[in-house]
Amino acid sequence: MSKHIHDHQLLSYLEAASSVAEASPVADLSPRLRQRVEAHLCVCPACRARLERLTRTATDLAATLHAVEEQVPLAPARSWAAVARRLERRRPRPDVLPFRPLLRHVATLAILVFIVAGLAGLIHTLAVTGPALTRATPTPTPTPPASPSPPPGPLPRSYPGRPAGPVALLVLGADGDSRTSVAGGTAADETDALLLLYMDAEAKRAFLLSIPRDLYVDVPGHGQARAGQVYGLGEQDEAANGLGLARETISSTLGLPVQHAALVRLDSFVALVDAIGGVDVEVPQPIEDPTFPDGHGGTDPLSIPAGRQHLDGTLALRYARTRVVPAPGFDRAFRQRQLILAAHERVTRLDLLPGLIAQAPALWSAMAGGLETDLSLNDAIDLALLVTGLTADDVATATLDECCTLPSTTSVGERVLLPQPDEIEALIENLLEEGR
Amino acid sequence: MDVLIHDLIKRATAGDETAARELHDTHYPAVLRLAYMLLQNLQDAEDATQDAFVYAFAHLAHYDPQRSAFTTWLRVIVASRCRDLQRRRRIPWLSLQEMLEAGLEPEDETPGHQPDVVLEWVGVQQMVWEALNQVPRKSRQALILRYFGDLSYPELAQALGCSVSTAKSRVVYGHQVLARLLNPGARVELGTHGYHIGDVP
Repeated sequence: MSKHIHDHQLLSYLEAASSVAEASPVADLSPRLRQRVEAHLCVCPACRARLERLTRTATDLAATLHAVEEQVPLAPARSWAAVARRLERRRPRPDVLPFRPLLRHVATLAILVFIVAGLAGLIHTLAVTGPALTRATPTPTPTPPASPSPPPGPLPRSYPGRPAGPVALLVLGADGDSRTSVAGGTAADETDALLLLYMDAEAKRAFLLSIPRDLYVDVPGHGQARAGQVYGLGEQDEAANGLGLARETISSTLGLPVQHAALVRLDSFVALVDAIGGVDVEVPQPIEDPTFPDGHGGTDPLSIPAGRQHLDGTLALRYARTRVVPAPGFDRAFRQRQLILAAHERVTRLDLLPGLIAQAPALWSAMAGGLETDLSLNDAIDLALLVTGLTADDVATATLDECCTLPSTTSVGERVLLPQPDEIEALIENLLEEGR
Repeated sequence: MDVLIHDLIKRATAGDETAARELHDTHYPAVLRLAYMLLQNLQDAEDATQDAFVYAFAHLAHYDPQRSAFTTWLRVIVASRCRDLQRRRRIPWLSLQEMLEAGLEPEDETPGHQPDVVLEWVGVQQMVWEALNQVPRKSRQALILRYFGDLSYPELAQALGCSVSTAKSRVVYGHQVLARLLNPGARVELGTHGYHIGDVP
C-alpha cells in the first residue's frame, strides 16, 4: 500500500472537494496528486476514517461557531457613537502621525531595555540592602548559617516610590559595538536612532518621539551639526560628554526639559538575549547564507532550518543581520522585529520572571557593556516603575519628519533637515494631549 | 447589493457621516461576532470592533473592491486589531513594587479564556466549543478565521500576520489537536505522522 496521506494534503483534498474552498483555490493539490490521494483513499481504511473525521470536525466547527455567534449581544448604537467620537478626534490632528509599526518596535526595545535595566537595578539594590549581601561574600565551607537568612524580602520601606512629575529620556541607538568604541575612542560615534521617551505617570501621559539623525541642530559650543553626530562631538570634547551634550542639544531643540540620556549598542541586544536564556522564533523558511561574513574578512556560513528555533544571542544577531531573503517579506527588518518581539515576550513572561529576577545581577552586568547612561541605579528603578505603570495605549508616537522640518543642503553638501520651531512646538503640544 | 455598498463606501470616503453610519451598522454584527470569537471577552471584542471601524473609515480610500469583498476586508482588519489588542494585553504592565511585596510570586499569567457570554448548548456543539478552547491560541484563531470568518489562506495570512504556509499549518495543527480531543479512542496520532504523497509543488 502507498504511504499514508499527510494532514496537509488531506485538508487540501477536503477543501478542494467542498464548498468551503470556493473562495480559496487550493494551490498545493495538483490533479495528479489528487488522483493519487483518491487512489490511496480507496485502499486505506485508516486514511478514509481520518478524512471522515476531518470532514465531520470541519462541519461541527462551523455549526458550533455559528451557534455561538447567535448569542453574542449586539449594541450597534453604542459602538457607532464611540467610533464617530474617535473619528472626530482624529480629524484636526494632521501633524501627529498615525501609528508607525517600526517605531513601535524601536520603542518596545527601548522600554524593554529600561525595564530590564530597572529590574536589575532593583534587584541590585535589594541585594545590597538586603540579607543577600552576606551570602555574596565568599564562604568556602558550606556550613549552615548561624541564623537562617530570611528570603529576599519586599522592597525596603525607605524606598521613595514613584517619582512625581514628568521625566524625559533620550535614547540613542548605535550600531557599533562597545569594544571598538572603547578601544578606539577616536572616531566620532554616529548614532543611528534617536528616540525621546517622555513619561508623566501622574497624568498618565507618555509619548515616544523619533528624531531623525539628519536633523540639523544647534549644538551648544559646537555650532550646527546633524543630530546623529552630537554624541560623537561630545565624546571628542574634553569638557563635555556625549550623552550630556546630546541631552542638552535635543532639550533646546524641542523646548522640552530632558533629564536623562542613554546610549544602547547593538551588542547589548546579544548580551540581553543570552542573559534571558535565548529567544524562540518561528523561522518561516530555512536560511542558507554561505557568505555570511565572519568579521575578519572571511566567511562563516550560516544555516538555520525552518520551524520554531531557539536562538542564543550570537545566533540571534546573525539571524537578524544576514542579507539573504528566502521568501518575500522574510527580510532583515522582519527578522529584527521578530527578535525584538521574541525578547520582549520572554522578558515579560510571568513564569520566567522569577528566574530572571534571580539572575538579574548577571543581566545588569551583561547589559552594562552595551548600555551607557547617565541614569543612576535609583533613576533606572524609578524609570522602570514609571514604565510599568503605563500601558501601550497610554503612549502616543510620532516622528519629527516633514511635518516640522525642511530638507536642505549645507555648504559642505550634507543633506540635512532644518527644524521648524513653531511646528515642533505644536507637535509636542499635540503629543502631550494625545497621550491621555 | 454590491452597488449599494460601493455607493456607501464612496460617500463615506467623501466624508458623508450618514453613509459611514450605515456601513457601520450593516457590518457591525459580523465584525463584533468575529472579534468575540477571537478574544472571548465582550469588552475586548467591542474595543477591537471600534478600533477596526476607526481604522477602516480612516483608510477607506485603500479598500479595493477588486481584491476582496468589503466584509472580508473588515474581517481581516478586525482580526489584526484583535492581535494588536492581545499583544498589548499580554505585556503584563505589572507593578514591580506590588510583585516584590507579594513575595516574588506573580499570579498565574493569563486568566485563561473564560468565555463571558453564557451559552446555551446542545451536545456536540458544547464538546466542540470546549475542545476548540483547548487548542493553542494561534491555531484556534486560525480555525475561527477559516471556519467562521470564511477567509481564504492568503487572507488568513494577512489577518494573522504570517505567511500563507504558516496560516495553513496552523489550521492543520488546529485540526490535529481537535481530532485528538474529540476522538480520544481513535488512532488519530497517525495524522501527525502522515506522509506526503508525491511531491508538493
